Amino acid sequence: MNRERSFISNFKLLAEVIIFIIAFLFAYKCIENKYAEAASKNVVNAYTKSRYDGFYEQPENSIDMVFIGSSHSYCTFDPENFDSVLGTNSWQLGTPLQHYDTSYFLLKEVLKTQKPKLVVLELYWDMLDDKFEMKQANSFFEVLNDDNVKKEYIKEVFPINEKVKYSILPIRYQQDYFAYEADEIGKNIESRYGVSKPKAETNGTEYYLAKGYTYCDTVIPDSELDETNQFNGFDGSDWEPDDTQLKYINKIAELCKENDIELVLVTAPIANVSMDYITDYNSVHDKMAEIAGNIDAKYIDFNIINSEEGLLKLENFRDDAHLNDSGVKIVDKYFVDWLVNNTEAFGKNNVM
Amino acid sequence: MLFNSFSFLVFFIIVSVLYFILPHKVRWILLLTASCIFYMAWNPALIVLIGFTIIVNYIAAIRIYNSRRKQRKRKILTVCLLINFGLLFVFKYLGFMNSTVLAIADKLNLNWPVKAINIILPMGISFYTFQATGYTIDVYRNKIKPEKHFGIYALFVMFFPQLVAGPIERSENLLPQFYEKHRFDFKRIISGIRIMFWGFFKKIVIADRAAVAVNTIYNSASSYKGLYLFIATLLFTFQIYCDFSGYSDIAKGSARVLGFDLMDNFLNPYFSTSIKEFWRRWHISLSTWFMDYVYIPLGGNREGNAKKYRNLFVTFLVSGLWHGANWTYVIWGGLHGIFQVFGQMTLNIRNKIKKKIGLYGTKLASFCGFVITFGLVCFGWIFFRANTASDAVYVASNILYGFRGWYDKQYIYEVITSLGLNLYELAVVSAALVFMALSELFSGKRPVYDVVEEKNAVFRIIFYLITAVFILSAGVFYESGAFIYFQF
Repeated sequence: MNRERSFISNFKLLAEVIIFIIAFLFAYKCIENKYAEAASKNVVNAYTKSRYDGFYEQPENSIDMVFIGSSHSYCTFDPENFDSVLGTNSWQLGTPLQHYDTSYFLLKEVLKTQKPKLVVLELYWDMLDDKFEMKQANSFFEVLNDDNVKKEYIKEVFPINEKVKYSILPIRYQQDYFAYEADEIGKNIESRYGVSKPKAETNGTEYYLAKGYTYCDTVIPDSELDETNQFNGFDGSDWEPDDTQLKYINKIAELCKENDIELVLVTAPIANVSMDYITDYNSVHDKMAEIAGNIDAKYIDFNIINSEEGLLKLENFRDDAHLNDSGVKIVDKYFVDWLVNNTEAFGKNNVM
Repeated sequence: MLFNSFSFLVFFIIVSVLYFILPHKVRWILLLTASCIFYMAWNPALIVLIGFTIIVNYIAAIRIYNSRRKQRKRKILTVCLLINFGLLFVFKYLGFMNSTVLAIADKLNLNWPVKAINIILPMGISFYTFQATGYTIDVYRNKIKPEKHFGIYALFVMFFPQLVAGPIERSENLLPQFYEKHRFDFKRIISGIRIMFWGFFKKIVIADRAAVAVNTIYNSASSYKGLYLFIATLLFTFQIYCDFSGYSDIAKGSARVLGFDLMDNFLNPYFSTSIKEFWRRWHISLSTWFMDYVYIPLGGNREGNAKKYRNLFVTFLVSGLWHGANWTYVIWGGLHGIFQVFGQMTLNIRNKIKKKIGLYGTKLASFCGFVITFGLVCFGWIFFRANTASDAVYVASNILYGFRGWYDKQYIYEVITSLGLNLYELAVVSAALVFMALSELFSGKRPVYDVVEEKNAVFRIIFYLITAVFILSAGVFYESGAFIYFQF
């Protein structure tokens, strides 16, 4: 009797679980469609999109030099500053928070249509010490044309748990959907109640200029000098690069070698006040110089140059870690000379 | 290994399957191994520390039990407590004490040679130390017999669902369960999964999302005033609750899947109508631990009101320090001590006034009690969350700044668009909070999942479907944070 009762009760529960699963799958499908639709409308990185739209429009094998790396690359290197002196056609291909696994696949994408003579890979410690970062992968995917490169990237770079999350579309597109809906809600509230968002305190302008470069003449706000400075608490003494990122830097070097491309590594400058926090920067620099040495690539660190030669002032920075256009001009001028003196591609005899 | 991680999901499925495949007599080996893996996933070396605590308490309990003389029993217990709390002191409080001495020396222009002590804080040290200590004291008090099976005892201290953030289990509840034969029970497994669902909902839909706004404001508290601080404090009130009770639910649910019953750690505490009641419903395993092993040994309420109030205050002060090595926690504990003492001192007068105006025992009185209690608890959380004591004082004194202007539409819009959450995220958190609050309100003083379990199948399906849809559509899966109580 008891057994029979238990069987019936378990059967009822099983039916309940099955109904729940069916209802959940239906809800899943609805959410998936809704989120995917919003994601297709939502552009997260407008400047990055313009950068890549322009790049894909370039004729095949027309680009001589590409800059790849994180925001430190696209906030430091304006291709026009190089092309006007070297007579080249170069392109800025930085993406937000770009890690070196991404740089490798980005270079593969570039090599499908272009054959640059020189690749300038921006080297930043904060991108070197992570195993994996999803946000920057998404920024890359937003502008990546070749689905096969994307598949290969996911297969090789994504840790297993990230692969699972990525395969669940409501999770993958959640941020897009939220951003899209937030924008819609904001517009509704603003039109209905006559209110407006607080304008970001900015003392300058920012817009996409050309060849992947975004112009910006904002000057670092006072708050980033100390209280919200992102380097507050980082002295550099314990910093170590991650093996995964090192592996991909080696792969970038191999890829360049196979394609007869010269590779240059460069660290962009951060604001002078930020450097004051990193009291053991030499340790960070030595480790990055060692990375360059291991792949036999030329390396220049603008934080060292800046501290030795006083190239930059505070007003040359837009924030605690990035240059504004006035700083870009100073650094790029220095870097052009350095390229001429230190690279084979743009050595004195080879300037185009 | 975090509960809200893919690795835990895989780990838990493997452990559960193996648990029901293996014969009963070797299951403890599986659970102990799993618990070691669970702990070592965070820092393998620190397993030595927990191992040492296990050995010390295991031997101490047996020796206490075997000793005939009371004096010797007391001596062994004292040594054991010194070791337990000595380790806790070194790993958790030494750096804090040193920095306090350093600050005082600086003020007095004295030279203190040790500038900083940086010792890694072993995850869950406060929890497993208290659990092991409680067991040894129980043996000393002849409440239980010592556990002779070393493996089972080690498992009692290390049982992975509650190892790093509780509930701090009592030996008489958990130890016997390791000897019980747990059969594969479909009903129990589903019930365990449902409890885990509820915990995940609170953690990844509410706590992790609210954390973004709370961190934005509290990490540069002095840049904000008024409504910003008010909303951030309110969100932290829910963040801390959902984070910690979410953990407890996942712990309870995963233990139930395996056939174990852990104690309820939270019983909808924000609906309490007094601070005294709040502490009966908040972090119950810790409150009862302090009651049994601190408050009562101090004399409890046996020696008159003055000593009772002293004991209460001291217990809460120590409870504050248990939470973290920072003066902010001590102040938080002290505040709750004051609330409790004041509440008890004025209880009779308040009741007389209520009776006189005809409010006593009415719903309105309960509602007023709830509002006041909730307000006091929120106020206390300012000190718990603030990065420094001076930040806490700043928040407390500026939280109602410009109150009259709070009705201004433009000001409200500026605040809600500057919290670090976008408007949709804010809407999602609000909806989830309403869903949780209503569920708890209708559950009274019982866990939501227990009440839902008694409803009919349609209700259960709809309830857990809403929970699951919230998790899937609005859970924080990237940059999901560790549980706050891991640091304690």
